[in-house]
Amino acid sequence: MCGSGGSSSSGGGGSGAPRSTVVCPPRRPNPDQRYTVSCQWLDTEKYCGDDARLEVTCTPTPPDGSVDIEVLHPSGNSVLAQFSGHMTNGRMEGTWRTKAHAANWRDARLRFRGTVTSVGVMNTSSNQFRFRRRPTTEWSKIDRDHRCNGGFAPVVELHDARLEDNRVHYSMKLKLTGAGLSDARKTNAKTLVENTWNGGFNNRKFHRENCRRGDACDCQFDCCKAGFYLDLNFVTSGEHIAVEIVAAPAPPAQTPACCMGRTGARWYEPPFDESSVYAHEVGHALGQFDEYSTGGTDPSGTQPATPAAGDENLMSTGQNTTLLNRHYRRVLQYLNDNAGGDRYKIIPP
Amino acid sequence: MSFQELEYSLAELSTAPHVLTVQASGRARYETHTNAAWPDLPEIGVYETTLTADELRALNQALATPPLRDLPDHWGRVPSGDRCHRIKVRAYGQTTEKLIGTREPVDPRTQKLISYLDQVVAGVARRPVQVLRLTLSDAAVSAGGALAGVLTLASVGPQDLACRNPLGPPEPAPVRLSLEAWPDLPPGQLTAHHVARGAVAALEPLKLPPGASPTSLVVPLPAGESAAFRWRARLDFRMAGSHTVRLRLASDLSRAADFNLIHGELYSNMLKVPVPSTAVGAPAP
Repeated sequence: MCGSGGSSSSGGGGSGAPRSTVVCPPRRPNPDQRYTVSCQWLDTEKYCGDDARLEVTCTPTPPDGSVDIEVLHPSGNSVLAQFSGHMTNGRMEGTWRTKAHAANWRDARLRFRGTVTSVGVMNTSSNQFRFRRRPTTEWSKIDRDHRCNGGFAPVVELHDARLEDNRVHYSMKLKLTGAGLSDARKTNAKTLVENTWNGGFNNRKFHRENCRRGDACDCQFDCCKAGFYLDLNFVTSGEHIAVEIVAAPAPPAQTPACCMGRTGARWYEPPFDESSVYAHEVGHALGQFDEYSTGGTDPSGTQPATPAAGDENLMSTGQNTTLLNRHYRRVLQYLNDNAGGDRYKIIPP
Repeated sequence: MSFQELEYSLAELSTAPHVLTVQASGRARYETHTNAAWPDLPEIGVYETTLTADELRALNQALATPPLRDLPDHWGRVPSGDRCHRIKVRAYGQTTEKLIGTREPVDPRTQKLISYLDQVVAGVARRPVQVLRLTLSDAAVSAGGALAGVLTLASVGPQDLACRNPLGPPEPAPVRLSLEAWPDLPPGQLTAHHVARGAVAALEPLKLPPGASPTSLVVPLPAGESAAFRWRARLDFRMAGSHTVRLRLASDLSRAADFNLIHGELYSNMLKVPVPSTAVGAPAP
C-alpha cells in the first residue's frame, strides 16, 4: 500500500468513532460522472522527520481504490516523494515522512498532488506545507559550576552561547596575563583548540530524538540536525577567564602541568604537549572533568576517572585529542534547553 | 592518638601520584611514578623501610600538633591540573584529608607538616626495593638526520620487578617511547622552546631477560637483570652542534599477567650528541 515515505488510512470523515458496517457491492465508475478531487495538508507545519498528515477526498463518492500521492518540489517541476494510499467512501488520509530536500528548506512551501486512480482524476493540494524551524537565540552567558571529586575546585561552564540556524555556537574569551603569548602563538593556540573541539564534532550531529528516520537518518541539511562550533578568542577585556601564562622552564626541567578554573588558571608556554594541552584546559571551561585518577574527576561517573581501554581521549591522556560524545553533552543540554521542547541527541550514539 | 594509616601523595604525574604510605606499625612504602623532578636520577619504583619507634613517634607528633583536621588547606579551591599535595590520615574510624595546591599561599603550619613529610619521603626513598632504571647509550645522529642508540631497562633494586615491554602490543594500553633533544646553549639562552620532541620510530631487541619474548606484554626483570633495545628516531633539529638527548618511556598500565608493573613516566640519563649541519632540516626518510 505504501510508496516512498508515506502511508495512508481511509474512510469517511477519519473519525475514530465506532460505526456500523454495511456491505455493499463494489461501485463502478460512471463514465458520464464528473468527479471532483480535493487535496489538502492536514498538518501544514512539521519538523523534518515528523509525519505530516494529508487528505484526499473525491465527490461524488467513487469506487474504493488507490490514490497516488506525489509531494511536489517547490518549483512544481519535480516530485520529492511519492506513495499510494487507499480511498474508501471517497476519502483517503495519508502521512508523508517529511524530509527536507535542499539547503533552503526553510523557505520551501510544498504542495502535493493526489490522483484517484479509480476515476483518473487528480488535483493539487489547496494549501502548502512548510518545515518547522528550530528556534534560535541571542548570545547569552553560560556560567555554571560542576562539583569535582577529590577536593578540586569545580569545573566551570564559562562562555557565551547562541543557538543559530544550523548549529550551537560557543564563544570563549580568555584574557592572558603574566608572560602572555606572542600573536603567532595566540593564533597557533586558537587554531589548535578550535580544531580539536570543532574537528571532534565533525563526524557527529545533534539529531532530533523524534525524527522518525531514527539514528540512520540520511538528511544532509540542518533540518533535523544541528552542528557545533567553538570560537576561542584572546581578549584584553570582557574575558570569561583570566589565564596566567608562565614561561616553561628550560630543559632538563620538565614543564609542569597547566591548570584551569574560574580563578587560578595557569598555562605554561610552551606546554609539555603542543597538540593537546591547551585544548584540554579549555575543556575544563566547557564543563569537562579530568578523566585521570589524580585530577578533578566527575562525581556522576559520566566521565569515568579512568576511561575504558580504547576510550582514551583529550581529557584523559596526554598527546591524545580524541573527543567522545560525552564531551559534547553540555552542548547538547544547551540545545535541548533552547529547542522549544523538541529534544535532540548526539548521533552516531 | 596514633594514626592507623597515613597516605601522603604528590600529583606530579596525571595518571599516578607519588605516594608515601605509612602504617601504624611503622611500615613505610613510597612509590614514585616519574623522575621528571630529578632528571639526574633515571629511576622510578618502590621503596620500603620500617620507621623506628622514635621516627614513628615524631610522625604522630607532627600530625597531632596542631591536629591535622585543624590545618588550613585548599579543599574545593584547587584548579584541575594543579600539582597538589594530598595528606590523608585514617585513625580509628575517622579519616582526615587535606589538599594543598600551588595557586594560593600555604598556611605556615601546613607547610611545616609538608616539609616534615618530605623528609620522611627522602628517608624512605633511600631504601629501594623494586626500582627500574632507564639508560640511554651509544646515541648518534647520522648525516641524514637519523638518530639511533640503545636503551636499557634494568632492575636495580634488591627485588624482582616487571614493566611493560616497549616492543609489546599496544593493548590494553600503549607504551609511549619518545625522545627529547635540545642544543647546548649557554644558560639564559636556552628555553623550553628549544626542546625538540619525537616518537621513537623503530625498536628492536638486543637482549631480553629469561621469560620475556619480543612480543610479550610484560618484561619480568629479576633483580640485577636488564633488557636492551636498539632504537631509531628522527627529530626536527633546528641547529647544528652539540645537543643533549634523553629518552622518555611512559606507560599507564599498573597490572598485567599477574604482575604489578612499574608504571608512569621514566626519563633516561642525558647524553651529548653532535648534530651535523647536514642533519638540520633534513627531510623525513
